[in-house]
Amino acid sequence: MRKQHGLSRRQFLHTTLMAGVGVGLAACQPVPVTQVATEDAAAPEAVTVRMWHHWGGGRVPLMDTQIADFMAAYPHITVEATLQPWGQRLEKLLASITAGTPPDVTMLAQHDMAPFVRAEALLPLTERMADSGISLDQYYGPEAEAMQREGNVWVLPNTMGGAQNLMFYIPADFEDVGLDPENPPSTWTEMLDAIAKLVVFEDDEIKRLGCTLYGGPDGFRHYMACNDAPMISDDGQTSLIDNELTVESVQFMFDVMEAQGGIEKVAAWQSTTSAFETNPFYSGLQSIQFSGGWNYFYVKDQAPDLDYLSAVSPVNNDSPWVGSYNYSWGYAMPRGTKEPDAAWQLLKWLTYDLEGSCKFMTAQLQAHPLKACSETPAYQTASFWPVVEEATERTKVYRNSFPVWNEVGDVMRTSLEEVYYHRKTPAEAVAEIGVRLQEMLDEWWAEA
Amino acid sequence: MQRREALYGLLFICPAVLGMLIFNLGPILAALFFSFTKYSIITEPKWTGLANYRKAFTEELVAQSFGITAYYVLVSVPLGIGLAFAVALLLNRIKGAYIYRTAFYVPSVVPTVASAVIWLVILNPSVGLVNYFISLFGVKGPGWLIDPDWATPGLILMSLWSIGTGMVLYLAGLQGVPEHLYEAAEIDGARALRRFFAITLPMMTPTLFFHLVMGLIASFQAFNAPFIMTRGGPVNSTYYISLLIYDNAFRYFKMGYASATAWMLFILVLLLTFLILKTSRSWVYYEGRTGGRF
Repeated sequence: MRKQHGLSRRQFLHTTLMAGVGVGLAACQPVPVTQVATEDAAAPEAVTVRMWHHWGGGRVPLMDTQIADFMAAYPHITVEATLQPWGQRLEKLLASITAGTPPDVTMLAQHDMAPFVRAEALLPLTERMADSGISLDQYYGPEAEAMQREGNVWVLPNTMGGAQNLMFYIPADFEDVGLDPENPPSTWTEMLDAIAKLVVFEDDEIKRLGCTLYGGPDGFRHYMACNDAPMISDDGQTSLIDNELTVESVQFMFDVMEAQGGIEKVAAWQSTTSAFETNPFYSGLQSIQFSGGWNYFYVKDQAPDLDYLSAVSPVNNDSPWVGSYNYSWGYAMPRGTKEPDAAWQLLKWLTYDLEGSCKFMTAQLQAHPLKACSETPAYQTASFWPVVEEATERTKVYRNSFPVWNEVGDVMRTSLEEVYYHRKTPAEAVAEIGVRLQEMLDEWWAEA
Repeated sequence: MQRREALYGLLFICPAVLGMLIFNLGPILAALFFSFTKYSIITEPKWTGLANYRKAFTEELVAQSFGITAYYVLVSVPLGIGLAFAVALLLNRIKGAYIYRTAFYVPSVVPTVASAVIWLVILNPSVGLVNYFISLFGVKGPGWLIDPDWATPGLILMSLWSIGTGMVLYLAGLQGVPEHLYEAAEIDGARALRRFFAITLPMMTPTLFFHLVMGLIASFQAFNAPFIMTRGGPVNSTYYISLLIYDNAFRYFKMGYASATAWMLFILVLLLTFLILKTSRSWVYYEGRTGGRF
């Protein structure tokens, strides 16, 4: 009987193949975050979460810190964060969801959510919020209102949608023309008077602008709110925009433009300053600027020596609103998320947790839609807080326009330009917007 | 041997053909299907027949977009061809031509985004170079991109920035004009202008034809410059059809409608190209082919 020593060729090949497969599988496993995590049998499985956001510019290091802090707090979760351009956010997200490779967490503006919700492209957050003890009354009123759609919450905000309608102004410019910086214009009549005094011309060109209007469709909605003008019926199906209050709002925007020499002069000034100046308001080229709460951070970051004050936007007809809720950034979980539990942990960190989102926003001097984040000594003692708080509470949410937000916004922009260029009267422009808005609403609801 | 050569030939063109089938023909046919549906990309398409086309034919903005696109094409294409050809003629036989050729060609390789930023400054009504030059003659320059009447002329002016590609084509064509034709013409006493119209221009018609077709197709699809520089404004004066398609597809989630307008554009370009091809027999001269006018 022949005794077999060693391995036969078949056994050798079999062993080699198995070893190869074993090594291959080991190599393909996710890289453990820490050695301890892999050795501890009770530790959660290591996962990687992909996240898209738009916090570019001076906020990049803050975002990096926020993510690093999260990974330190949740060592089993690795975050792959990608900075996406704001302009192409929708097409990229649409493509990724359609292709079945969406990010696990994505930044999404509240006004962008309606079509995604209808297409069931987002995961509802309501149940997870309840499980984590998060309720809507923890948020400021307009923010909580804007978060909901079709009985659910889909996007948790981390920026304030209501602190976008603030009036920043240079007190020295006010004093130069005999205006009291401690009593900035609070009505449209006062505003027009102030602008006419503040604008400075030289060689038939604007040397210093009185104020830029809050531009395009955002400005349109803003001044509608400041005049308490209705836009859409409560059931979301009927356009109410063609009314006297909206016409007054457009007339006011036109008057502001005319008080500064008309659209050609203002546009020429804008094209020059946008080409050469970071922000003309920081450079003495503009006396009043409408901007959001983020501007406090920008001033601190880019023009720390600027002497400025801020106030809520002037209103007309004693409107209870000082602006409209135009948009806020938040985070959502797209359908197809590979790691929903880990994604939720990250989403909560980015929007709710004191050590995550609150810290991130505080570092930017930005108010947070969550009361607990804003009602802290860091904000309460800040000189700007009363202004931000008032603007937040007096914000009108045109939430019924969310489904057709971009489309009607484009019509608003074009119609407003037609008024500025004397091609239509405010009443004609508003009437056309009304017709187009109704068509859009009819189309939207026809698909429901 | 011939069979093997044919096989090699097929193998070599295989990547291009496959690429065209997968990345061009596939999406083109998909867009045709979507054009008959209501489709928001993230939902299943719903068949709606000709509804998108009916809407596109009745919507004022679509007609307006096609109109201003046609205006842009009708002015920018002939201007681009004329200027590229003129520059090529000037640079054909001068000392240090390669320096000028490079200088004229470089803008063609600058990315559109960078060009757009440069041209935003050049066309600035207050401090831009163009208006500064105009002011030297005591005339106040127009508002270019901020004036609805001047925005498209501004973009046409910018499109001339990249005539380098056409110039290279014409230079190559000019090198191919047989020298003996000029010698014969000179012996016959033809002056420069006569030589140009009797020899250079006819011999260059295949290149002109090619440039015309390609320029037409590219101009109808103009997107980057208006998207970056004017965003279709002011007052929709630069809202070319490509911007309308983009907005409907990716901002309003109306991919079906966007596909229908894209197909309308495709058919229009196809018809125009076909028309040019048909008329080319009467004005394009190919050496060795009879039947042409020249």
